[in-house]
Amino acid sequence: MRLKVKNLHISYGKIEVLKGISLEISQGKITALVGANGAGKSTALMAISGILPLKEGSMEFDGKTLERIRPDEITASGVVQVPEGRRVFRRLTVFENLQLGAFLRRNDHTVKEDIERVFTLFPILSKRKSQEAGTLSGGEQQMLAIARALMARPKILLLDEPSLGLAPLVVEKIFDVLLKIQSEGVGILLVEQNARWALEVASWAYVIETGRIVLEGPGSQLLMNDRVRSAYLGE
Amino acid sequence: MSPLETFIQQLINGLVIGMIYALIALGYTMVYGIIQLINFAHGEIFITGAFIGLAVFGALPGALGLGNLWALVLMFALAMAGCGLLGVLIERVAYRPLRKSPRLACLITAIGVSFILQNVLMLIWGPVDKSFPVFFKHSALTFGAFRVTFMQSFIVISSLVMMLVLHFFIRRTMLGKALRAASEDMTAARLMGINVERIISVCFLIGSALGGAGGLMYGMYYNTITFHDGYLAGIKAFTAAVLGGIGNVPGAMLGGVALGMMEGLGAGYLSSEWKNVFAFLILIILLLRWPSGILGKFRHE
Ligand SMILES: Nc1ncnc2c1ncn2[C@@H]1O[C@H](COP(=O)(O)OP(=O)(O)OP(=O)(O)O)[C@@H](O)[C@H]1O
Ligand SMILES: [Mg+2]
Repeated sequence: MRLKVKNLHISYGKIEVLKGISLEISQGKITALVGANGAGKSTALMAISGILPLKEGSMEFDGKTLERIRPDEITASGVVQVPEGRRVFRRLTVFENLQLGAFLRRNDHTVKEDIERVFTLFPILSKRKSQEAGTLSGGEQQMLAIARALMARPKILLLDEPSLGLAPLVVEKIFDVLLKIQSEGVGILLVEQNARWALEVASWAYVIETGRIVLEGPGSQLLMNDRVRSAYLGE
Repeated sequence: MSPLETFIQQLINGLVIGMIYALIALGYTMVYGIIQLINFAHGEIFITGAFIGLAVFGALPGALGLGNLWALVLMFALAMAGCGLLGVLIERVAYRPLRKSPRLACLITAIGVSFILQNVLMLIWGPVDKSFPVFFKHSALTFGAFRVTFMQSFIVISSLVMMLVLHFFIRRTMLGKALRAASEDMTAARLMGINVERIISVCFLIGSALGGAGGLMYGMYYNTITFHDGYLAGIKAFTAAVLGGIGNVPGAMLGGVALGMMEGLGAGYLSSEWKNVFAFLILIILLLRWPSGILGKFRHE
């Protein structure tokens, strides 16, 4: 199963931020999207999730076009986002956040099993389950944000900078889980500041600069590219 | 009556009117909590509840007269349903198209809707006072020196029940949790697959239905209503909502009761002519000193 995004144009008012972006994300693979601050990465994810209206362009998932459909329908189709800055529901408990991740299946008895499953992925969440999410540490909130998205049973997971502002040890833990999720067949689109790691695990990667894809290829190949090395790997 | 007994009697009276304010305040606060709009039309929406109740009573067969509990139940059910639908309809036609417009555009639209509704009410029911029948005229409970009429206990108990049901709904059901999530972070809620437009409709439905119940109680308690009564009581209920922190549901309940009691005491000890002044005074002081309410606002950081 594949999510294909073709020729995406997005504007905020009169300013065009995405100037025709095409991406492909396959199930069971990690695809990376790398770019400087303000290049338009988050904008691309919000557009794919249906939050921002497309000015131009099309999306196709599993052979079906996803045009002008509501965010909840996109989530229902299996494309689920973990937004930048985690955005957990701070006044709700960890448990309630997880329940809301499965909002579309709210009457399903399998929700309980899924909560147990994400608790085995992130055992700390189980200890914190009755706590308000706003009281969690940054790393725990990121884990919760990912766990909450998993509750929707995604086929494609869009992750916007999951390592932002976290200690290396926590980042490592989160990346381990991401690899595990991938191995279970979920397709991941990874937007990362931590470009080296993203490129190492990505079977395909895109480099975005001011709203355009300027480079793409297998992650391992981009790691050797001079332009990428100087701009994103600090070499 | 001893001074203490007078005091307690005033508190009881204040509690009754406070419960009504609280019910109405919930409509302001639920709508504000989710779309940060002060729904000026809520004053007219809830007073419509009183008019619907009155119309239902007029249409009832003789067997369901005064003193019949079922007559009351029917009046409340239809007033709540009618106001709930009216609220949803207003949101749909007047506010939803403006969802992406500046806040001020919505606010001005809300004031416009309020005027339109006021005129519609006047056209339908006329510009004169409508008097309410007195239900259960002679039944009152007396505790020593205190007197609680049937109407008073009916108001307190039924609004308490409605508030408890609302509290349960918001805290325990998935729809209630989605409502809290959406008022905290609408985009994140959308990403979770929550249809936020539907949640907004639910807020208008519940807020307006509770307002309708409050409006009907208001009419029954004061015995008469006119088309512009929604305005004054609306400002008071709005004060109650601000008192408890607008957007904060338990706050609106407490704010309503607190305002009612202050008003009751003020009317009892100073002068009942001044009682309306209290609400405005409190509102002004609050907006200047504690704009986010005594309990603080329910908002995301
Ligand atoms: N709501 C908005 N209104 C106007 N302009 C916006 C808005 N959101 C983003 N932009 C602009 O669009 C451009 C792309 O922003 P975006 O957040 O997509 O970048 P990004 O690649 O995710 O950056 P970062 O790495 O900092 O998260 C930026 O120039 C930004 O200033
Ligand atoms: Mg970003």
